[in-house]
Amino acid sequence: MDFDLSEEQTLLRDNLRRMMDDIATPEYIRQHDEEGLYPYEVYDQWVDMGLLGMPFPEKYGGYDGDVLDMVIIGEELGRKGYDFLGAYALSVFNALNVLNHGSEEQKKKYIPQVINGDIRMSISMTEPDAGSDAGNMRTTAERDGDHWLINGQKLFSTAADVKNNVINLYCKTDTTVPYQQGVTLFMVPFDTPGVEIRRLKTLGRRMLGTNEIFFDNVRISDEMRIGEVNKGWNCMLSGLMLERVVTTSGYVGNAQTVVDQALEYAKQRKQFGKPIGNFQSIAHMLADMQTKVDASRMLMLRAATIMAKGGSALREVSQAKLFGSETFAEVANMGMQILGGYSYMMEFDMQRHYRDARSTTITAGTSQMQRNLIANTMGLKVK
Amino acid sequence: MLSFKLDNDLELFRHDVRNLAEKEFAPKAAHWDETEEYPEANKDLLAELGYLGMLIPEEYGGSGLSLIHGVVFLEELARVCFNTALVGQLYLNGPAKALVELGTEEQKQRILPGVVKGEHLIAISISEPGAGSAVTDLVTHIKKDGDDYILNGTKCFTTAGTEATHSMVFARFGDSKGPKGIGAVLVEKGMKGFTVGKPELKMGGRAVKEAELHFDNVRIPKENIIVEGTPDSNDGFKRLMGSFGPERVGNAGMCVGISQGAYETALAYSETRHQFGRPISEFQGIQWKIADMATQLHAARLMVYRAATNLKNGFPDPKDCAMAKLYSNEMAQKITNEALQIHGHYGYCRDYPLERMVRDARGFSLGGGTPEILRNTIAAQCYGRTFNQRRGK
Repeated sequence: MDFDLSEEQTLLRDNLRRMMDDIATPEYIRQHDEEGLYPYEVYDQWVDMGLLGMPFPEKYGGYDGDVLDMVIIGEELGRKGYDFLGAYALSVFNALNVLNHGSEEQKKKYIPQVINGDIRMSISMTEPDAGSDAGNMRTTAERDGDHWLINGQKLFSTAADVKNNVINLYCKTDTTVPYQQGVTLFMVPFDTPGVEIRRLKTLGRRMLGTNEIFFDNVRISDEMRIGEVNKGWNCMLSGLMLERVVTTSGYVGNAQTVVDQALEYAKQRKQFGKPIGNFQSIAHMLADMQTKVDASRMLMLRAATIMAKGGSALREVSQAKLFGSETFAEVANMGMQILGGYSYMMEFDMQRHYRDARSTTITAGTSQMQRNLIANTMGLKVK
Repeated sequence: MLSFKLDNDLELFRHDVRNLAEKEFAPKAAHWDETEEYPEANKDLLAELGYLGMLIPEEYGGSGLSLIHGVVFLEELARVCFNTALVGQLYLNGPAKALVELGTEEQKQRILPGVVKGEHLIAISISEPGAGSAVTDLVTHIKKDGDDYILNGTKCFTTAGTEATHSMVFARFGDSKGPKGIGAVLVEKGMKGFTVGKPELKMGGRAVKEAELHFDNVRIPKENIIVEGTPDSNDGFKRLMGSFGPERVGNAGMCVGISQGAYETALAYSETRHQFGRPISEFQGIQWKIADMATQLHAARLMVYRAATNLKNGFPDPKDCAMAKLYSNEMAQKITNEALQIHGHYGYCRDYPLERMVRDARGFSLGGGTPEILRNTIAAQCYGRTFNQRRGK
């Protein structure tokens, strides 16, 4: 296996890192976390450098990048905090759904708008009673001539309330059949009449925020439907591997920052007359942390490499996501311990990493669901 | 024969405290966290009902109950409102308890009745920017000046430093290094040269903040010396540290309480939450989490009760305390996290108490002796000798 980066990939990584260092300063991140502000300024820079176009074909304004390019971006953005990758990934993954399932007209219209920053995209699937059990959703879309009328309630929709956002909404369009056969995907601009978005207070990931969305007779043109009626489940599944592997690259990036910051602190902080990093217990913690983060990175790169060659990496992606998120949460907790009392203070970054990391074993498929998926690929029928 | 059961009167006591906590403190638990306001009203109520002085001897106005009562009390408060429990801990097991053990008769008469009434609050001030786990690196110093003493230095992470009327400050007497020469004095609010800095914002326990204390030539009358340090002896430091066993036990008791609250919440949620057509409690993955949580909780509780009842002269055994706090600190992190996980993303949202419990529980492992330092203590007891942490660079 060859995990070396090509010259272009190295260049991409270095440029992106420099740019993120310049704009996403510690003060910027701290302020945006504290006040729950969306990182518009950083997003604008990505648009300027063409980052949003990475996975799209040239004919829609993209760069034909592959999954390895995407995980390089994921790790670099994640280094500054998982939410940066979150902002990027939401637009790109949903636009990829348009690419894979939309009409030619939709592709020509919406993909360039995402690439040049005119619109953003978010996803809305979870409902109060449909979490891991996504098929239990109850939000409905009823046909009304060449329009649809949407009613219902969605939950935990990340960054739904940001400027120029288009919500990619999964609804039931046939309530008489099992969910795999009765779900359809629609694009709903966030400011459409009848859409009410309410931001929820959360432990972490406060830059993007997560929301409750109420749909009260929301009228959407049939032109905003992506893919065939009742075939939305396929849209959801088709992007899943890419989404999970790129998400994992963000965990790896953020976890690496945790290790870097804990290591730096352990070298500077003196107790009992010497740097605490010279105590075996602390040194061993840091050795474990870096080993686990490297292992996460290897699992993630293995899955990405299989996918880049066109293979299916269902099990490998779930393994990477499971291990990557658990590792991120674990090293953030160890980082807290290494920084001692300072870590608990809001002016230090470690508490933010810890709060942000806590969501990763829950979102994008809980660790428990990943274990089910992995076990199922091993020939088990987990109930 | 060991019975491992609490006496009936303790169970009745628990019952009373639980009723009080659920009725008075649970409804506003999120409020104190959200506003970061010191829960003054709760303190007043606890004083009125006589709880703040429950461990203080009767001759100073308290009820003279034993340590285990304090543990049960804190457990029940922490089960529903960690911030209120933190306030309780300050009055019960912290410096007030140390003063009972180490203070002069005059000091006890002067200060403790006020503690019982909730009028006096004694904060404990040990940590300094450069002296955290390495307590004996502290540089705050005190010098004799005629009949008085002059105190200079800076302390950090003093819990409730802003609200305290008195602070028990660890300081170095004369020219000395390491544990030698360390003693403690009482600094009173309003003393000239004593200022309290802006409290630090923190992740959990947000209503009871830590503050920086600055001492600029503060004149301390000799009546306020609690333990006088002598530059050629570490006796003072040993006596001081020895008196903080109850604080560790109280800390561990709060861990048990908050974990009990998180466990109960998760247990109830798993019965009502349906996914894939059945309550999630029907899945073995959830059942085993609950089983592990209950087991760890049980183990921690037994360790804490043992530490709280195995007393010599009213004080617990240092090894019992260290083990109980170490195990309970890490247990509380695990259990609150697992309870959050059982709630899925609801657990991550502030409409539910889990994210608050995770943040609150995280602090146990950072204050009052970290699990790492406790491991040093326990290892020293196991080997029968202390290990010099300063050896090598």
